[in-house]
Amino acid sequence: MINIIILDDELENTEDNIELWESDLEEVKSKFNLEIYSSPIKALERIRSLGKNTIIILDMQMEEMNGAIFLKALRDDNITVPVIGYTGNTNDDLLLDLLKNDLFSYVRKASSNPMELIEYINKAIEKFKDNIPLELTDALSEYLERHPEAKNIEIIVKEDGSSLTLENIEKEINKGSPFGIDYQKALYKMSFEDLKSKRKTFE
Amino acid sequence: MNNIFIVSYDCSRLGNYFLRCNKDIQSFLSTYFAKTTIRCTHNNCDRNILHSELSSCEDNYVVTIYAHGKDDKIIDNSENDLINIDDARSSYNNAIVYSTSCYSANQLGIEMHKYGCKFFFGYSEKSYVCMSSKDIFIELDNFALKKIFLNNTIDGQKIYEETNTFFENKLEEMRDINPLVAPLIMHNKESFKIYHNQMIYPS
Repeated sequence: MINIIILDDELENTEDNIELWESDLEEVKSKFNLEIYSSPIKALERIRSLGKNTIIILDMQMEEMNGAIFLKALRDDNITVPVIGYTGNTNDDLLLDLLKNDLFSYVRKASSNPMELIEYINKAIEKFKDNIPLELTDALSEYLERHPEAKNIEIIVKEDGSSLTLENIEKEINKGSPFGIDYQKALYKMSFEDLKSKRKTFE
Repeated sequence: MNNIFIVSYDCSRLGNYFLRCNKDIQSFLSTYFAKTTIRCTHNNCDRNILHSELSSCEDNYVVTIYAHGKDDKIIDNSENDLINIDDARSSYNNAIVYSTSCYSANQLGIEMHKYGCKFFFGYSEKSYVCMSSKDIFIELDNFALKKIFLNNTIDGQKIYEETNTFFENKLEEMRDINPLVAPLIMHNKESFKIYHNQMIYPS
């Protein structure tokens, strides 16, 4: 199960809110383990324990620790999970900071309210659809480790004859190259669950 | 079919992939349609030659191109136009045009269809070839064309469905051969388009 962590210090009485939104969040919760935090420290601890299959939706303007610092703390801790920032701040310097720290994406907000939050979650899901689940990336890496002969298999793009090798798939995905994006989308279409059932071919 | 043109252009990175596609179709035609006139060239056809040859055709002719492509043109390996958008509007009335070039189903295919091209096959995205599994990718690239030749009347819907099923079967096959290559077949499957009788497949 993929975990979605929402961190927003303006969300008070978070648990009560979740109960109130239960019906709206039902679809999300059927696909993901959803947890909402208002404390960056608690969220960081939880994210450390959850591991790779996590996507974070991060309020960039928190009093205790702003989003850019939180993001840096994550990356310094070698936590490379996708993070979607949401902010009403249009300050370019802040956005630059975000990009430097490898923010997956960001959305703008007018305020923190339940419906808007649900919209962020849906946007995160949409983004995640095009992003290879990290568990699968591990499976691909494992496959290449077990079949080193496959590393040098060449893929050619018919558009211009440019090429790359299978060894570079993960790198292309991480840097979001056109090939990486195409590959992710194709994998998504093959469906994550379906591929998981085929895990035996990776093992 | 009265006349069949097969034009292919390889570049150094692709090796002989397009030539092999060309030869695969020639071999197929010589087996099933020994009396059909096949006019084929490899690496020595240009836009003028193609125009000159096509001007002698009135109806029931097939133009097959294996070369690099863009949204609005198909190019040779010196990046000169083989077919451009002006040609699409004027020179392919009543033609069956088959292109495995990247993006050719976009502007080029749409214009050809709009201006009277009987049938058009192409890719709307980049298409990929895995060099260690060339034979499978050639089979995929040529499948719909062979179906056109084998049927007395062209049914766009039927050809689309059969081609889609063929891609799905090869996708399953590739999962066992090399699961890392399977997403490329999925991507190509999702990218091919057919225009026929004012219809676009998939609709």
